[in-house]
Amino acid sequence: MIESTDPLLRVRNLRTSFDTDRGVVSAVDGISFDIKPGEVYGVVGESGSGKSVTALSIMGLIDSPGVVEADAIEFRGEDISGYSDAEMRDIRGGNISMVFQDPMNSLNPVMTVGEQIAEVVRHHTPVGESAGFWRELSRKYVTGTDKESDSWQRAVELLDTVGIPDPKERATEYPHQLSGGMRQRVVIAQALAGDPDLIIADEPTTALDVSVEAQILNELLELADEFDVSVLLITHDLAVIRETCDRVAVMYAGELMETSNVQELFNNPQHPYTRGLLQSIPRITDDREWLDVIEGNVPDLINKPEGCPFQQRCNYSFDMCDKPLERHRVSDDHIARCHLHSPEVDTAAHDFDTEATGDRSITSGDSGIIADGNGGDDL
Amino acid sequence: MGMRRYIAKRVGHAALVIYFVATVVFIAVRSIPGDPARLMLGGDAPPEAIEALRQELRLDEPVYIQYFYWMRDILFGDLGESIFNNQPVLDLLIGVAGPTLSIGLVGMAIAFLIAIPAGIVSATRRYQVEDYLATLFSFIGISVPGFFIGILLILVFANRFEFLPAFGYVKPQEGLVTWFSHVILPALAVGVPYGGIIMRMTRSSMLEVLNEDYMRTARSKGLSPRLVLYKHGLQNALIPVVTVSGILFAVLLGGVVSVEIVFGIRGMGRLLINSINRRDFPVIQGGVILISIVFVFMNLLVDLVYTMINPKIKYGGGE
Amino acid sequence: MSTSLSDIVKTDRARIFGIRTDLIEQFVDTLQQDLKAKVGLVIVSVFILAAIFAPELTPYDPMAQEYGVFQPPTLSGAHPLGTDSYGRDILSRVMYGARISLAVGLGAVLFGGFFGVLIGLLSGYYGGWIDDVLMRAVDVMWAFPWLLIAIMLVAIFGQGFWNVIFAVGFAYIDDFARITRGEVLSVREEEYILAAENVGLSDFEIIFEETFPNTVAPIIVQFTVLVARAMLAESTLSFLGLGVKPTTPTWGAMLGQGRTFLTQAPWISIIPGILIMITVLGINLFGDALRDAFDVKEGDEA
Repeated sequence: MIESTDPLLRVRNLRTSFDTDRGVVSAVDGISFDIKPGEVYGVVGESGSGKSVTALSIMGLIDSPGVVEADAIEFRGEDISGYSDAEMRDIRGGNISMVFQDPMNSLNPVMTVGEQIAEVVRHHTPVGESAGFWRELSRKYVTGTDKESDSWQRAVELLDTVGIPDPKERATEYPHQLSGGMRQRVVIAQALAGDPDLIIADEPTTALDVSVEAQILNELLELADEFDVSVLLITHDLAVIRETCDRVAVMYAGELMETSNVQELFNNPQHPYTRGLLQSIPRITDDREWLDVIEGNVPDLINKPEGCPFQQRCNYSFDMCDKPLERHRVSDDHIARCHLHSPEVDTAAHDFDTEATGDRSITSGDSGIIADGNGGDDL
Repeated sequence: MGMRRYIAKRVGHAALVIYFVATVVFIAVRSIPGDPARLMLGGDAPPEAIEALRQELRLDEPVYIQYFYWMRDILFGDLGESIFNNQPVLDLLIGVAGPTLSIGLVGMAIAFLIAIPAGIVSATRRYQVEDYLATLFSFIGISVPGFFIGILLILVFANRFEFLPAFGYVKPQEGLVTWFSHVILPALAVGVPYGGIIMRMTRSSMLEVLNEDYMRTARSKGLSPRLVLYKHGLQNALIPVVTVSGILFAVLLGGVVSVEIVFGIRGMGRLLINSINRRDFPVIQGGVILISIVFVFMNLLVDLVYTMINPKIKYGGGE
Repeated sequence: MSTSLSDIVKTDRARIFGIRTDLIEQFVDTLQQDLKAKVGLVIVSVFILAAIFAPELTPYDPMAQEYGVFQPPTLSGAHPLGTDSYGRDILSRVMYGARISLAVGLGAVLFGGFFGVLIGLLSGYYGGWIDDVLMRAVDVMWAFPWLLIAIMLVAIFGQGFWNVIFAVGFAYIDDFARITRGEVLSVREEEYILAAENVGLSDFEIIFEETFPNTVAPIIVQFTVLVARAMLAESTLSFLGLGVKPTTPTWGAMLGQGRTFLTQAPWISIIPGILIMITVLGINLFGDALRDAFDVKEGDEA
């Protein structure tokens, strides 16, 4: 059950663009969302929709020629969007940590897994061990990590917590000596090591064997629950979202198209794009001969069309689609950015059944434009 | 594959290389058209001398016997005697090894000390002034023969400023400062071409490492940029640099021979060239073999460094 | 049926002289954008033209000793680059020297390239014991102190144009073999090669008509880089008096002979030295531009 407290992370009008030879690429184009304490928030979208860039933008890890702008990125009520890199370093790993896609490449091949975890402990928790530049370098190249030190002990403990057998021994090993699933557990331990409030998991199981995928994901979420950490889960897999998330945002061409709690999104999707996505999932009970795919391609992020980015591929597109999109509240916890939900549009005339798959109907009073700045408003 | 097995393999490989060098030298000398002994001693040598040399080289025995004795002698460190002054070749060569090693090692040290930091700066400040300067330096480095650098250094530092000695060599026992002042210019001439290549390797390797996922992970952990670079990046970037640095000793070696000539230093290179001019074949053969052994040995050292900085070899395992 | 399939296989990319036209387009693109490429191309062109047309362009006979010794360079005078210790015109001599540099550079790399590419193709295509044997040999060659062997070979067999080419070129066989093999291994699994096998093309056709043209990009880059290195090796041998022939004007030999007069007539050594530097630099810049254009990773050679 989601508690209605102040959001842990509040993102307002985040825009990330890259200045390239061909023109300015708007990878993330004005998105807003809130993550509440303790919740698992999913962001789903096709590859290239801007999910990962969103994560890196929040972390302050977008490099030149990328430019990140936002009206606000509030973390626990404090706006971190204007933070310097030095200030962000305390946030990264300490308050928000990341789990990346490929555990083989995201762990350093020339450092023991123990040290890779222990250095996070030293940097972000009060163990009283110096984490200065020269001290760290001498640990790496001269003395090695002290196996009696608190940070190393903590690293071993964390390896144990994430379910790695014989953690004392494993801590001294290098990533290439571990299996894919073990490596991703190390990455999770590393993400927990700084005692964060939020973990951003960017396709955390995509690179793994199908056999361990579900297991690792469940462990991540159980640990998040145990450590009282919120999770921003980025994935292209709607099935994963359905099983793991509390709330979800559907991303397309750098914009959020629909946000909702998970049940409602699956039972009562209110954006044509979301419906298209849901219909492209194979189901066990399928009697369809072909999966329904969304025709066409993601628009060019350099010359995006005016208005809705999905209009060219949308079966319901009509004359309003090239007007700027607005947010329409479908229900308390459900917002869609589609002109079909404008109060003046008669959805029936467009053959768009607002009660397509669920049993919720939208009364005219529920539908309406939401003003900026209202608490808890996503998109 | 495990460190022991790896090192055993490299030692075997080194032995194989030396064996092939010895064989190539043997075949080359035996395929001299006509009578090698006559060619070595010159046309006007007395017949008794030629006959004595034929005996010594066992030229009258079947080739496989010659080959057997050749290999046996090398194995026992017997490289024959100089025709020019009848001294044992090994003693002659060891007597002039000091200056050659001094120049080579100081040159290498200069190359690494300049090239690796320059390569790192070049990669981290890509497309900025530092990068262009370092790249220019490395391009010139790989485009100028060592002996020409030597000549330019003599013109500038020795002739114009009379700042450093341009000729000869002084043993370190006779004073480290004098030794160094004699070694520094030739070492620079040898080190710049070598450093040029090392710098380019460091730069491209570092650029690749900077794009690796684990570097982004390190940043996501809140480490400072220089900690990310030097704690997480440096060792990874150096692995391929170390791999090629051994093979590139050949560049260093070629430089040493010609630079010894330029600076009038009595080292192994100069002895080799003088012996060629005197047609002193035992010294030529011995020189080629001994220098090859040093070369192969240095490569072996590089392999050892490689095993130390690459945990994939040190600890084996993985897929 | 089989002919039509193999036609598809063969026309899968347009080619000029076996080089894929898309590579040429890539290079032209780079050339238009990259200053490095332009500078390199200009230097290489001037060098090649000077070498080819030396007999037509040189003002004097490069061997004639009749112009007064030690005349310093005067750009407006009769001998723009001066004369040497025998009173020979340096400009004429360096232009003839360019011929030797170019010929040895190209010759050595063509020699090494021919055998190296052949070994690489066979090794990569057949795999198995052929690969094992060839690659073990290449491994040993890789760690060979080649310049020493070259010095010894020239010392034994005497100076001469072809001896220098072979002595220098031998060292490059392993570089080409390594690169070609790596490329073949990656190309081998491509669909058009599999298709070619299925339509029953002979091994010869598959190796030389289907595989080789698709491995050329790194080979061309390697070729360029090694021409620069071969010219440096030639100049070193010539400098040591082990080059083509003592009387032939080569840059290395001129530099070596001028060394005796370094204080009174430094230009005799410096001019050929600078020419070696600029030419090799030009070729390296050109090679680097090719590397960028073809997107070949650095360190694939070395």
